Amino acid sequence: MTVLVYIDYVPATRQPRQESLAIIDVARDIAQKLGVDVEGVVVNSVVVATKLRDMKILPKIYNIRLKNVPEGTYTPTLFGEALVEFCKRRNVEVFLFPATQRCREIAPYVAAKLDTGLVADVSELYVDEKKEVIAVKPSFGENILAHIYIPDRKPKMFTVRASLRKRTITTYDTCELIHEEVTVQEHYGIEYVKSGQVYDPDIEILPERHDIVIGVGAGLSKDSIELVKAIAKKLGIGVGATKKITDRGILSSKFLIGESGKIIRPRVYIALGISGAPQHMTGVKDYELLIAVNIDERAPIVNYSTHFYKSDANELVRKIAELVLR
Amino acid sequence: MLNIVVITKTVVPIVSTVKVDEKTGSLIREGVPTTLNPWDYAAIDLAIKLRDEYGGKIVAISMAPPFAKDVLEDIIGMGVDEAVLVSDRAFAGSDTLATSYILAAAIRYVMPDFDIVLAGQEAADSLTSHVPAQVASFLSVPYLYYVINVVKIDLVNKIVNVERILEDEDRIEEFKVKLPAVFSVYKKNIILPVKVSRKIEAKLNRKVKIITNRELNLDQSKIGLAGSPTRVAKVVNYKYEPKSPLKIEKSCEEFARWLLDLIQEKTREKQ
Repeated sequence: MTVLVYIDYVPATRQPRQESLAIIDVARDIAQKLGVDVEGVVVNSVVVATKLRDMKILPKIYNIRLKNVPEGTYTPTLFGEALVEFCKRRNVEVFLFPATQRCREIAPYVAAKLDTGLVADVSELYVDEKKEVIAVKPSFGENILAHIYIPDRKPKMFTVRASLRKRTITTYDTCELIHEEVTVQEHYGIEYVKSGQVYDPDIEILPERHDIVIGVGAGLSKDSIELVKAIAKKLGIGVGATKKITDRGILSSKFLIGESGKIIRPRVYIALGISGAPQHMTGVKDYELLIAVNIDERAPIVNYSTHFYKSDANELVRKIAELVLR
Repeated sequence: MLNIVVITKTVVPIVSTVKVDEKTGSLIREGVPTTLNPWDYAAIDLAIKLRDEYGGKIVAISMAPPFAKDVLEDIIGMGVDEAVLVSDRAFAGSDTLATSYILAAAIRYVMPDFDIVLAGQEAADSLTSHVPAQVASFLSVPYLYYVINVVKIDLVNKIVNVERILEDEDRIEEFKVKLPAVFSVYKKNIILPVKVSRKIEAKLNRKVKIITNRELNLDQSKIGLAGSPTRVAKVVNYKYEPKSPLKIEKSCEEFARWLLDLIQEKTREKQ
């Protein structure tokens, strides 16, 4: 019996995703509590599997070699079928995927083919007194935490949200790399054509990529928001926005925090001119500091703040711009 | 000609206000009306664009209790040709696997000669994004997530080239897919207008078809709670303690400098 971790990677660059490495700790913890081994699996990349072996962060790595398929060729069905075949050959008790977009695409297919359960985007995993693996799954804008388990089926599958912040790294003396051949169809009606990097000037300030994020709300003018973007670029921090700002087209929906946007976990959230509606605040979780700047001392944002400064946020933005952008 | 199915879901409008009764584990809905999942608009929009360019027909399919009929009438009002509500007490309690099994059977029943199945990227309430891949698995057809663009369609050979975006990799990928296939459409903040006359006509002529398990005749062990591998142990509300913030009394310049120092300090801590 094993706890298996799927090692996600970018096919074009053969770089393993940090999110995969970050959930190895979770897997090791569950394996220890169940008294079973932990192993990693890579689909069709000797390069990635070798990198993993050299890191020695798992005792054993499998590379599933696909007959007649060039290394690193990705389609969801190809990877899915490879993993289905691999799981059928072994006694996998728990199968963890990082909750990356690629894994969110592969894992449900594998679960359906193996007729087993899958819990998505799990924020925490634990083992209860009956040795049942239980996943905590945030739902409804993360206002509700459902504790979900998968009785009587194997493997129990989870896509796990990695905490890149609180990572500890355990290494082993050796890591065994095993290549295992699986025969799949050449394609399953889907073929990879090409890929390219997205060049977006806003990428460097997207909110989910930073520990410090400035949130902008309706209390800020369009000009102030432009200044905030420039300040964020200069300081290397992120920018998030409320729905009013994205609805007006001042910022694109990539910046939207909350209900119909992103859920972020910054250490510091600086809320400028944000009233603090639940639809927005549901997207800002686990912060250490929330510094709110608002003209209205009775705005709901106060209840979420660790620090409050009463001011027209536009004035503050101009002041910061003077200090930073000179 | 393209035969297009759009899978849609109904959700409560402001999901962050939903609470759960921690004793019974059920959601406190308090008669909250349901609405179309916001991410489904992008799928409906793409379906309409494809139909208008290549000809054909769109059927929207939703699995939900009977009250979701109204939302399906809205969808017809948006320009979809037909709508089907898949609804039966026997389907209640289905998790994503059982739901996908039922939806796949419904698609085969309603439009056996489908070319393309479209779905939104995820549902705003549960956020699993399992259904498109699992429907594809039950239909034994190829699938792809996060589609942003249909590059070209070869109607003779039924081959479509699509582009999709992986936001967390900053990457766009192109794939060549043999139809029939299932696609989930990348999240987009759009809303399609409902043409009221079309909606009223749909209502008067009972254009939303209702399909139950009498028509689908699915094995009870594959649907509802019995067909769902996942179980909910308990549900709790997110604990949130209102804070009493430290009120800062500084001049604007002093505060700006304090804030910049704090940002620098926290940035340094990280490194």
